[in-house]
Amino acid sequence: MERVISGNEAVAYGAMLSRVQVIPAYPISPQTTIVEALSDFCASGKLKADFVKVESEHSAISCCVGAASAGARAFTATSAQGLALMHEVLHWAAGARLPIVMANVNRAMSAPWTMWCDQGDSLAQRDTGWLQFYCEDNQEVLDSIIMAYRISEKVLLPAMVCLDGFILSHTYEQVEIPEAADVDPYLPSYNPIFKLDVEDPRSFNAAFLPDMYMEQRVKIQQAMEEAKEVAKQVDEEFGRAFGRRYGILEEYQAEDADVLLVTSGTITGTARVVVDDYREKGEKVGLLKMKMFRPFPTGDVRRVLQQVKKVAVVDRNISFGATGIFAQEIRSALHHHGEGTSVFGFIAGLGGRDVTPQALRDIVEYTKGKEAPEGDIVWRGVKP
Amino acid sequence: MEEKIVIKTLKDTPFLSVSLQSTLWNKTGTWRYLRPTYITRRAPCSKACPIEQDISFYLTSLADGKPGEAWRKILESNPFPSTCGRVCHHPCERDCNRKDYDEPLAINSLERFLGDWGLKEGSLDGRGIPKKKERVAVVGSGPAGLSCAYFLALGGYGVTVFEAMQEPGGMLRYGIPKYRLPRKILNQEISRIQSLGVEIRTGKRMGENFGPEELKPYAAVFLATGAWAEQKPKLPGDDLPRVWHGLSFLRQVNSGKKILLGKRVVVVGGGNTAIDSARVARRLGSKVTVLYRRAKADMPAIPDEVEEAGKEGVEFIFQAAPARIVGKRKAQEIHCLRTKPGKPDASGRRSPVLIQGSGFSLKTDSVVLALGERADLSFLPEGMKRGDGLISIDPWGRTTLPGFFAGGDAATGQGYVSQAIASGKRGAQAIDRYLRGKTENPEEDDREVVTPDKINLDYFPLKQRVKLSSLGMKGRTKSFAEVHQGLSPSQARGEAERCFSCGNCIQCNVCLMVCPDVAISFLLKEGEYLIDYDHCKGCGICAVECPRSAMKLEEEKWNE
Repeated sequence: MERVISGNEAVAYGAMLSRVQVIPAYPISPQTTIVEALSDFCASGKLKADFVKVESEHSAISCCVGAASAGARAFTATSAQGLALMHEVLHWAAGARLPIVMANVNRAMSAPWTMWCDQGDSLAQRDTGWLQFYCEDNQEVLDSIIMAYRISEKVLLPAMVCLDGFILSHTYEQVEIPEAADVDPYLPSYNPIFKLDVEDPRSFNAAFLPDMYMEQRVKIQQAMEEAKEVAKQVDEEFGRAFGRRYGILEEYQAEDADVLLVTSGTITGTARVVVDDYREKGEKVGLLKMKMFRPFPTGDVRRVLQQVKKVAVVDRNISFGATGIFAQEIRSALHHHGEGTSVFGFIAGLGGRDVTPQALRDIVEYTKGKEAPEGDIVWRGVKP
Repeated sequence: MEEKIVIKTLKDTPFLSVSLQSTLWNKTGTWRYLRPTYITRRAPCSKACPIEQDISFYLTSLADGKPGEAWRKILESNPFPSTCGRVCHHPCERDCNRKDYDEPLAINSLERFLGDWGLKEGSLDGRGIPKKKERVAVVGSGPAGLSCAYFLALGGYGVTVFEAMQEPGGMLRYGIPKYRLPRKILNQEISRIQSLGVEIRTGKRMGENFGPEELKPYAAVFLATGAWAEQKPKLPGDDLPRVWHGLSFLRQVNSGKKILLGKRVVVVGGGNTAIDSARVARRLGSKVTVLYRRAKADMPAIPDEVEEAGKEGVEFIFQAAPARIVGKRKAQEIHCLRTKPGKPDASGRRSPVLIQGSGFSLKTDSVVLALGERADLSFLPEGMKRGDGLISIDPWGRTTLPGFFAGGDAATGQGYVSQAIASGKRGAQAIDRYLRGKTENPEEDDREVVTPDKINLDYFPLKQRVKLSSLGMKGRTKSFAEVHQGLSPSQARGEAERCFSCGNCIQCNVCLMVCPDVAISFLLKEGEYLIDYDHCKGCGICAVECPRSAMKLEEEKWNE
């Protein structure tokens, strides 16, 4: 069924089609309409799930941990400060190997008070052990929620599906909503190996002494590594079932490119237009879209970027005291593996500032015109 | 644990910290120093009820949609639910724990609903009761006598009731007007008692047409002859025609006699007889004024009845007393004096003092004097009477003569129907003990009463008390039709659902749901909860969270 829906509605449809069983959620802009849509689905009986009104995001994710521990498919959604409030439980969810899926509507962190988009909130949670996916449009949002459960439940790690606040969350696009009858065989019900069961009580997550803890961390890292391959298979199967594929990253006009833009989220859509313009003029400009951020697809990134002389990474985020976070990860991935590749790290669009086609053209021109960047960060769109 | 597992390789390391076997071996209950248990406490309504009915027990059944079960529970403690549901002064509602939360439960109306449900749908079958050889005589067929007979019959005794009047019921029939208690209802409730084998002989007045020799065949006697003699302090002019005494006035009206009152009636008194007389006089077409020597708040009459009388147009003059009645050939005028409160009397109430020179008079066509009733015990030997004119009894109705018991207005001096029923019920228990050769008293209910602070109000949404519909004023002044209408089944169920069920577990599952150790389970077959004390750590959440105070926490005495 094709409908024109917002990104947040796409999230809600994705959750409903995934037949989530427990939804503890607390509203926060710009995520609120996800919670509203899901509570409507539950109230009308379209979705047979327990909708739990909680008193904070900390409770929302804690309730997800409880539900998933008991073997239920759990879902929640949040933004910015709400995600930050979940922080300690994010670690727990990953350590307890619970395949919770959460939508994070990217919103810049306060202070100062803000509601608009950047990726500072979710990227600050990059070390918690959650898988992270960034979406370009509303269709990808819906599809990614469904795929996230497949990946999570296979590798037993929680997953975060990120979408840009307002730019996707509150913008309406044409979206193909799959039929439940088609999603059900693609995403069977969740049957964990271990779950809380009063008939067969067990101790969970009891203390590991120093002789055990470290191996358990290694297991999480192994699951992260496995997730890259699992995500590719899941994407391939999704393509066969629904006719749409995304990959864990996407090369667009990347072959033979002299300058390669690297983007994530909605900047990707704008970049496609800019790349097309350059190609029409005969200039070899290409694009690498980063969908998966955790685990970081190091091998694939190397494979693509090693071929390119100049890479222009556009970060809508900053790790204060360091650089843009995608640039940081890419530089790290290329260390010892891409001696001939120069990485330009641009930071643009923080706190919802528009990243226009002209801004991206400026980035391309800057990169073309210099052998190397003037610093580890090149700011774009900042007042003189 | 028998086997120690040693993990040596990364491959052998489990991906999750989870015990590989059940943890039930770990008896965490040994950590407990507080022990939760289930307990049935007493609801304040039940404590306030003279009959000590377990009100919340039967309301739970009604709220569950089982009126039949509720009705059977009522009949275990009260033979007159339809009657009490109409005429009881319902102190249960006064003490209801819901009263400070929103409004007290309409217990009286619910009792009437269940009683009437039983008259239509229910049946009481006494055939299965094992019969005892002794027969008991009951003198008087008012609420005390018939209740005593009912409980004795339930206990298997043969009972004969001697009644002075032509029909059974006592004050229920000859005192209480029909608009409060339709005779069809009364007859049905009495028939149900007779259906248990209780024999009622009417027209048998003690000391007149039957005497002690007729009581000889009986193993025990219960005296419940009521308070039929009227207080008649000397009042000049009280011998004029059209001057009535309250009880005989009511008795004549209730017996169907035509009475000519005239346009105006003055009723003197503040008790139920006065208010009944006033409302009867309104229905006979007169303009009625009630004269009472104390203030409104001092009236012994049921406040609801006073209020209804006011609605029906009865006027009140408080703090005034009659001095004399004057008239040629009949009462025409009543001369009165104002009063003021004086010194407290023996009952603690302040006796009114006449204010000299405050005289006023009321023109009238009839006067009804309702100045109180007392028992006429002329048939009894002096040794069985007390100084205040009542039969001398102990708290269980035993008189000074072995085998003789007494209750009701003649022995207690209490005037409410439910109090009479209670004394009949206690008398039956005492008679049973006596006949079984037991000397100790029956057990008193000394369970702890649930106070409002013990109710967990978070579990109870605010909900207004059910509104009763009543007859319009036009219908009241022209007929003796019943004033208050009964509740519909859905109204009754909705009202029953308001009950906090103080101290009475209704299996709401809160304890089970809040237990963090999953140590409480519900046994379907037994219909009760089971606490797994091997794993209950004694956190106390269940007992504290219980909405209705039906659990208790006690310190474990591990060392004893």
